[in-house]
This record gives sequence, structure tokens and C-alpha cells, in this order.
Amino acid sequence: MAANPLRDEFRMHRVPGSCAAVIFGGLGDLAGRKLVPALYNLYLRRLLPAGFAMIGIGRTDPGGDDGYRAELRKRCEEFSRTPVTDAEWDGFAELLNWITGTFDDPKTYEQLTSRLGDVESARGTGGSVLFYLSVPPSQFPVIVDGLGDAGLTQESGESFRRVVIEKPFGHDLASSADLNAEVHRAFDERQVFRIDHYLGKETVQNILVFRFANGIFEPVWNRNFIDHIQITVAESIGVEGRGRFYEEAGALRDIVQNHMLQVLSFVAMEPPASFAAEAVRDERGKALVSCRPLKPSDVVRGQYAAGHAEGQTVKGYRSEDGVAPGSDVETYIAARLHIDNWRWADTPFYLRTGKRLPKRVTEVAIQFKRVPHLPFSYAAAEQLEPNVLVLRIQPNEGISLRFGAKVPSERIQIRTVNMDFQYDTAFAAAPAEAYETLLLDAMRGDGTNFPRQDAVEESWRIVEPVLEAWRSQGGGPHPYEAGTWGPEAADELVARDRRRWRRP
Amino acid sequence: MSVALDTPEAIERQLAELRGAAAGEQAGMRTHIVDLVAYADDDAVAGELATALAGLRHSRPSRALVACGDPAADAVTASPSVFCAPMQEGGKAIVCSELVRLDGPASGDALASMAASLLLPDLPVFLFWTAPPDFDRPVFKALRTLATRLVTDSTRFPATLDALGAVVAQDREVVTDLAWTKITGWREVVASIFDDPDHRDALARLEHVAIDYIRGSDAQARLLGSWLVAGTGCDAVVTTRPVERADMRAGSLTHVDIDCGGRRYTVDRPQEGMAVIDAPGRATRRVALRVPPFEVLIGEELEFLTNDHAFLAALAAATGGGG
Repeated sequence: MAANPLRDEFRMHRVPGSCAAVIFGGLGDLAGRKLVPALYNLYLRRLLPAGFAMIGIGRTDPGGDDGYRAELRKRCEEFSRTPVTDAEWDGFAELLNWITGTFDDPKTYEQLTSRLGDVESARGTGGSVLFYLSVPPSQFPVIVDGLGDAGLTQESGESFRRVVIEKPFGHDLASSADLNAEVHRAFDERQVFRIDHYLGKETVQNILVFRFANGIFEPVWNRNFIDHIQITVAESIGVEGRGRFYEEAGALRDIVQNHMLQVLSFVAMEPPASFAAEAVRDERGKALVSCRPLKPSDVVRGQYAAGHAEGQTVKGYRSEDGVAPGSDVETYIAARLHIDNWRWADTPFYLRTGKRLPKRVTEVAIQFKRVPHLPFSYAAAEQLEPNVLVLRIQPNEGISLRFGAKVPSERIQIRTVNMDFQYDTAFAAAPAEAYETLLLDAMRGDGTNFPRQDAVEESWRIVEPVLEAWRSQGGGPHPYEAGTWGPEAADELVARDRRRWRRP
Repeated sequence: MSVALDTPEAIERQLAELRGAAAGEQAGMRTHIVDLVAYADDDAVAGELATALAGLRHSRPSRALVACGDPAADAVTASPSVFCAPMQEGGKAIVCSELVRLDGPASGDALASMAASLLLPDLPVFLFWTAPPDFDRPVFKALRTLATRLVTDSTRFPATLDALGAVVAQDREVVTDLAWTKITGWREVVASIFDDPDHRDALARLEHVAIDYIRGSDAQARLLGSWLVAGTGCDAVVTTRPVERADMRAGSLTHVDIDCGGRRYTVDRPQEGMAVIDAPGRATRRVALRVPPFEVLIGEELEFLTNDHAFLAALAAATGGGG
């Protein structure tokens, strides 16, 4: 059937077609903190379709639809980036529905089938459904099978059935493949949207615009001009009550395998032929395929000990709730990674992430090679540093370029200065929350910002030798004092290459 | 705080002082992305514009010029002001944007020449024309030469729609109209009816569109009807009818009746913020339908630098132009 001709224009393309969203774990932490506030903000921005409804599912009855709406209002009042007002909330609340049920009970899916029919009739959702599994991964197979057995994953005509799943996508390569196989029992790969919320950040997406919409950067974006690249994901907080989860994950699985390698793929990829989802995902995937598996000797793991962070005395990781007193789980990773292709051969990517570091910052720093010859005296250029282009992902989203400038005086003296661009000085808009962008993309069927199965499995391939070495060789993380930039071994890792970490 | 001035140098100096006074050493100018010149023919409208532009949070231009034509004036005077706010919540750095009110002769190009000297360099310039659509006036022509995109509001002066149609047909200008921006929500609601595959085919049999609007301006009604005609390619009849209601703004749409070969679809707007959809074989449903305030509408238009082809097609259908 031909497409709706009334939607053939760019303003209408911003709004997805009619659909329902179903959130498993509809009263959970993620739903309350992120998903429902994101939907509320999409509603305020007039980006939800006219035919829309949301159904939350969970074990505990909050008091039917009314109780659910009241509970979600509280969460939105706490977590929405835009204040909740009566007038707007009342319109939004009409879209919210609740089902009480357990995920392994076929009756839950009977209820869901019936409720989807109701909202299709009352709200005009058009038969399309986005299932969001906001639950632990152990529940994925149960829900996927429940949906499949109830016939809820079958698409007909133009209507879609999609599933959104949250990381972790497995805990190693084998379990990741198992998880994918389980999801594929009921959904084709094109129906699966894996959320890595980093990919929904405006500044991550802007990496592609910055690289491929400007003529001056791409010609120098390669081994001929770039000395090395540092990617930093630093957090000042500790595990914040998530000790039990963190004991199962650690920094390598929680941050490096997914967020950092996905960001790296944006920085390292070749230009796509188009911005179509598959073209972009193909190029990102190729960049990951070109990554050499990490050598255990190129990885430093650390664990924070007691210290001071942001002016407060803080305890060490092993004293956190839910953490084993003798835990060897890493809260810090520094790694050197190589990409074996023409663009990046011999240009190292240094990755660094940790908890209880001095500040919260995520950035990509591209350090250029020094000029081949300096025609100035040593004294004049003594303070000249290499050019660095920094893509700041959070906070203070923006871009800065470090270069040398003459100090105003009667003689030549060069100082390094920063030229800064900040997003909010240009657009004065608080960037949309990543979940707003990603939910909208999933409703529109745009998979550009969602890792594909091959990318997830490639990421596991890259970190697998390290996981294997830790399993087989034992050993433990280097302790580092909370509030510092990590263990000395991390400094030694880059010092081996006669380089040093930048201070973000 | 504002002071009347009459030379570009004095205005720039005053702006710098105002920035410093408002935000001290932490003040930084908003990164320059767009210039806006707004023109009004009377003091009250110019005041409304200044207030609305100052209220633009997300899309405020780095520098907005509000020009007010006065038949009695023989020279241009300026009243600069700056708006500063923390760049981020809780942050120390301050970012400022500027608004300069220019009062001057309603004829000739004195106002335009002052505006030209105050525009930030090499940026897209939006001209927001709020006066009656006499597009042969020298002041319009002079300001138009500065602008890359013309924004009008035919809800304010309904004749603007036909005048705009003539301008586009003749000069292929880059234009838009806030009456079009105001009906985005209506278009979304109407389009959603035909997302339903069971009703999609009916669109090809569109015969008649009847639209009720609040008396005062039929521009939004004409554009909505023409959008349906242009979007479907049908030779359908559009009729519009003014109604009296005190609870909505002049020109707002209240009811749309779409006849597709005998199948009737209606969208009724009983109150601000919501609409009721009736489609054959479907239960009646209520949906949100909100028309944002003026500053949001103008902010939305500042995001687009090129022509909106759906608008041009609707405008051509509404005014009999070539599109």
C-alpha cells in the first residue's frame, strides 16, 4: 500500500506514525527516571503521534490506571527536565495505561493483547507496537517467548512490532550470541533496537556532522596528521548503591565494551555513502572489525580506595554496600587500542574510564602531530603544546581547539590557547535527553543510533582476550585513591609511548 | 535598561556596556547563528515583538532588530537592550543576546540602512514582516534585500496570504507564514487518521473539505484545506466558514469535515488543547491538539533556512499560484 501522502514532508517526518509503547517493568527505576520523563517531554515538544498510548506492565499493582498515572506524575516531577504542569500532565496522563502481571504468565500476554486492542480503538494507535524491555537481561527470554507465543511479534501490513532492549547485551562473546539467538526466536534483527544511551547524546551524534559536514577536518582525520586519540569517560561518583550490579559488571563490561567502543566507532569510521541507518551502521561496524583485540598487557585495571572526591571524604570500593570485602572487580580501565586499517595504522587510541575520578567528564581528544620544523627560538615556543581538538560529550557539550598564538608583546613568544565552542551558546537549548532521541528513533524505525548485533559481538571480540586473561591468570586491580586520575600504572601505560594523559 | 541612540557606533558601544553591566567579566556573546529583523507599523505591535523575542529561550537570535515605522519620524533612533542568562543551570558563565529597537521613518530605506549596519556578519537573516502586506513599499523592499528568508503572519492580516502567493509565484522567494506553523498540530491530527491502512485509500477520493474557524482570519483554514488538496492531488473543493467563539484566538480552527467519496471524517476542537476524531467504523477518540504560543512558533521558524515545500504547495493551491 502506498505511504500516507500527507506525511510526505519534513515537518511531519519529525513525528512518528501512530503506535503504542509497551514498557515491561513500567514502574521500575529506568522507567521512572528516564523512559516516562522522556515520553512526557516528547509530548510537550509535540513529537508524539496523535495516535499514541503507553502501557506499563509489572508485578505490583499501583492501583490500576489511575494509581499508575499518579505514581508516574511523581516520578516526572522529580526527573523530567521540563517542569510538570497540570494542564500538560492531564493530556499526557490520558495516554498511560497499566497491566498487573508476571512476565512468565500467559495471562499477562492475553491481557496485553486485549489492552492493545482497546488503545487501538480508543487512541488510534494503528496496530504498531514498540515493546521496551526495561527489565534485567535474565527476563528477556521469558518476555520474548511470551510475546512470541501470544502472536504479538507478528507484523501485518504497515504496522510494526519492535523490541527495545537495554544493555548489558551479554557478559562475554558467547553469552552475547546466546542472548541474540534468544531474542531472534521471536524478532527479526530489523525489529530489534539495542539501546546504548550514549548514542542518543547530541554530542555523540554531532561527531558525524562535525566530521562529514565540514570540509576542513576530514582531510587531516588520519594517521598522517593525528598523533593519537584519547577517549575519556570519567565519573566522580562511586557505585552509588549499585554495588551488587557492579560486582557482576566492572568497568570493562559496563563502559568500555559498549559506550567507549561505540564512541570510538564514530570517531574512527569511514564516511558512509549516505546517512541511512544501515549505511552508517555498516561503517561503524567496519571500524570495530578493524580493531585489534586488546592485549592484556595494554590494559590497566584499577579499583578506587578511600580518599576525597569533590571535597568529601569517601570510602573505597570494597567498603561499598553490596561489594565483597575482597572484591577484585575493576572500577577503572586504561587501555591502548590499535585499529588496523589504512586510516589509523600506528595511531593509538587510549581509552580511560573510571569511577571516583576528580570530575565527571566524557570527551574525545584528538592530538595532532607537531609541526615538522619550528622556525622560532626555543624560548619563544617553549610553552607551545601540540594542537588538540576536543569533542566534549558531557558536561559543557562542545568543541574546543587548542593552538598556538603570539603573546602580545614586542617579541615573539608563543602560548597555547583554546578556542571554545559551547552548544548552549549557539542553540541555547538544553539538549534533549538521550532517551527522548532514542525512543523517537525507535518509534520511527530509524536504527542509526542503535548498535546492531554484529557491532555488539565485535565489541565483545575486542575485549574478550582481557576477560580471558583475567579469568585464567587471576591477579587484581591496582588500587587508586578516590579523587585522583587513576593508578600510576595507567600513566606508565602511555609513558611507554612517550605520551601522557591529558587532564580533562 | 535602554537608551535612545542614533549611530551604529553609539549603539554598539551601548550594547557592550549593557553586556558588561548585566553580566560582568563572565559575559560571553551567544555564538552567532542567525540575525532577525522584525518590522511593525505601530508601537504596540513592536512592543509585543520585542517581548516575544526576548522570551525566545531556545532559538533567540544573537542579535534581533525590531524596526518600527512611524510616518511622522524623520530619523532613526535606537534603544538597545541585552538579555543575559547562565549558560547552564547552576553555571557561572553568562551568555547574552541583544535586541535593538529601531524607530524611524515608515517610508524610504532609512530603517533598512540602519539595520544593515547592525547585522552581525555573514549570517542568515530572517525578516519577520508583521505590517499589512503592501510588498511594494520601499521600506519592505529595502529590508527584503537584507533577508534570506521572509516570515509573515497572515493570521494578523489575511490579505497577506494572497500577497505572499504572488511574491512566491513571481520571485521564487524563500518564505514562510506563521499561519502555517500554527496548523502543524492540526496537520498531524488529520494525517494520523490516514495512517490507518483501512482509510488510506479514501484519501484518493477526497471531494470536499469544510473548515470552521474563529472569525478574523481565514488564512489557517485556507492553508489546511489547500494542504489536503495539494497532498492528495485531488480536485477537491475547500469551503471555509467563520464562527464566533470567545474562548479561542481569531483565525483558530475549530472543526474540519473531510468528505472522501461519501466517507466522512471529522476533527472537532471543543476546547484548547484537545481534539475529537471521528472516522467511519472507528470509535470516537480524543487526542491532544495544542497550538504553541507565539514565541515558540517564531522560534520554530528560525530553525529552517530553506523553503518548506509542503507550505509552498499549500500556498499555491490556496492562492492559485504556480507553487
